[in-house]
Amino acid sequence: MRRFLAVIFGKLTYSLIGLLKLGSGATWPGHIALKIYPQFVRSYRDKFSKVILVSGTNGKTTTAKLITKTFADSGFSVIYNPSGANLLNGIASSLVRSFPLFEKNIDGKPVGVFEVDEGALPMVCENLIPDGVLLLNLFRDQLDRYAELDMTAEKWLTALKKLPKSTKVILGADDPLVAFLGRELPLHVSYFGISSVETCDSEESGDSSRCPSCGADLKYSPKFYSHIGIWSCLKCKNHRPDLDYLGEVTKDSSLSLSEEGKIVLHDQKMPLSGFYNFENVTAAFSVCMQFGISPKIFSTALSTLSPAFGRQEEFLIEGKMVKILLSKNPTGFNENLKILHEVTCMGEILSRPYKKGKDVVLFVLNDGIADGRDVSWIWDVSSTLFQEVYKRYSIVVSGTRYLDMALRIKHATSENKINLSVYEKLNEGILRGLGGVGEGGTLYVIATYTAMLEVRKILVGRRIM
Amino acid sequence: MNLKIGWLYPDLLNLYGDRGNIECLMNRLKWRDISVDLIGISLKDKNNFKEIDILFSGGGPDLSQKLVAEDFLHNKGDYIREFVENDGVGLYICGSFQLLGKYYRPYEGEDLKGLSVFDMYTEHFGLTKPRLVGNVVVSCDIFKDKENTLVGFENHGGRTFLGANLSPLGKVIHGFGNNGEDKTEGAVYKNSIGTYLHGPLLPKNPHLADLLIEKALKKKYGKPVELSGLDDTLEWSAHKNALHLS
Repeated sequence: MRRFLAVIFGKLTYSLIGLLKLGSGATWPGHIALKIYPQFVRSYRDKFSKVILVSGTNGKTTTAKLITKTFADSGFSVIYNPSGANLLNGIASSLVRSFPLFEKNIDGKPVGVFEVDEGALPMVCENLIPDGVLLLNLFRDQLDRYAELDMTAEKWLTALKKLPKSTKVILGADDPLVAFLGRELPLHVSYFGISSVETCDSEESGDSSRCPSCGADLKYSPKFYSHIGIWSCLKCKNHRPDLDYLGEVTKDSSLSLSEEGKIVLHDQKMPLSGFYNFENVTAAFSVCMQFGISPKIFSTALSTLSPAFGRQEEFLIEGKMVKILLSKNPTGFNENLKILHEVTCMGEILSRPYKKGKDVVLFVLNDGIADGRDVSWIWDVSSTLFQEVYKRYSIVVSGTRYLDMALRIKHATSENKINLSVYEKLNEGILRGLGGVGEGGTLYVIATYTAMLEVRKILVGRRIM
Repeated sequence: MNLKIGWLYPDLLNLYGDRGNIECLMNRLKWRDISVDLIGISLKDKNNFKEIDILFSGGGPDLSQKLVAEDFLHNKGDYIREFVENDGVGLYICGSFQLLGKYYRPYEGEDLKGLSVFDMYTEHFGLTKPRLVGNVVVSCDIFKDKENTLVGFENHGGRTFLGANLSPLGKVIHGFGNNGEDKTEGAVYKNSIGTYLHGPLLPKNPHLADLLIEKALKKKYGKPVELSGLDDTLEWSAHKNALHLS
């Protein structure tokens, strides 16, 4: 009865939000449903044939999108949460929206694929008792909310240990802290990772480049980015676990996917750029294989994958290309600055010829709750990458903390008198950015989470003038 | 002229954009044609504190904190104490600041003995008291100029209480400071400054960066050195903007 009431009020909230145009209603209906009936999400568990959760700092949205698409293409009915609504109330909202008020006898129960905030994972696990949990990576992100990485890993471990032994846990082997979780789990654990023919050894200092077991320095051969790579500890002999699923990056930046040492899919073309998407695609592949999906269907789903909300999303505005790159932590920011140069390795950037002209980069830094109130992290973005961007592009800076961003760029470039266009008002910054784009050029927007939402709203709503 | 900046544990205590402080000091020296060398001093490095003109030490995650605490106290402890007592110019943030005190008392387990250079102690109350997180504005009297505020961000579980023989760095106008109770923030002892304002503190507080530089030049060359002015329009705009952050 309480669930019935919760659904009614949840659905009413949806209608009200729609009617009053208060936004997408991604969290409020679920929030209200949970207030009325705290067991709301739990009570839906047996309505699903399978539940798969995707968590990690970076790549949740894109990876969950690819899994959802592959399951849907395989004929499953899939219930998922929209990007950003990845706390318990966001999942509750998608339940309110997706299930009818009166139960019908539907053929076959749906599959649930949910992306889950790192901090919310324990609570969501407890409520949904998932059949599969995919853990991608752990980077420094919003330290004011999550405190430190080791603590998040601890909380994940405690939550996972409470799950039934049959639970399939798929771990990112290239991230030492995530891979390490597998050693202590009495569950069905498998690992995915990457190998790359382009030996692209990154010199960036990572967020967890120490052995999670003994604390000694880790060696990488090679390191792909941040602390992600083929790692080993010389002291305690810990190393990247043997892979169940391998994504092999080939010369033309295609990806060959293997299961237990055998190539299942050759030379898959990547629909999205950035090295991190090799990881995301291999992760989605691992989950699909674990749940018996046909590789062929995965391949089709991959080839037709479009960018998720604000993640390399492109818009054509007044004949000019705008590309939005959500960048919410140092690792994502670094990797996206590499995408600007259309390369995946730092060394390649430095060897490229100097050009400046038709492209513009707009940096938008906000300090909303969803961005993290603390903007210190921009100082952990690579100074070298900022310098390269400064040499090659016109730069515009905006956002609620635009002065902090401008100061960051000033110090990265070591220019005492720096030439930056700074705009407190975002619409003015976007206008200036668009105005600076030459024939056939692109406006790249590097934006934090709420900044990305605002930019999108202005572009889509054309509320520029 | 030349200054040597020593960065303690650059590979371990670099959690909150600490690099910003180093970049700021180095750029402000370069912009004035004062040459600068950066010397990283980590776990296995030699304890050449005698050649260091400005010592910087930041905050770090738990795992490195334990490693660092061990090394900071037992391997480098005597050298750091000597450096501070001999008027060495230093900036110590968050975890490093705590280790300069008498002890750090965790919620459970034994006290961690500090260097006892600063007359203060730190206590962590576990989950019984919330972490102190947010934007901070502090009013200080260490500056000669009209601008006497410091702006930054704090994020700490430990609460620090100053003894009678130690002056705070300033008075909290907005935020929590050392313990969220007595309105003190940080500490000043000789030429050493400890604070909870983490990460990129100096870029938005150019007067503090210059104060450290002036003190270091004076100590090294035996007489006061007048620093040439820099175009700090952007710095002060960012500072003023941060005065009004909630």
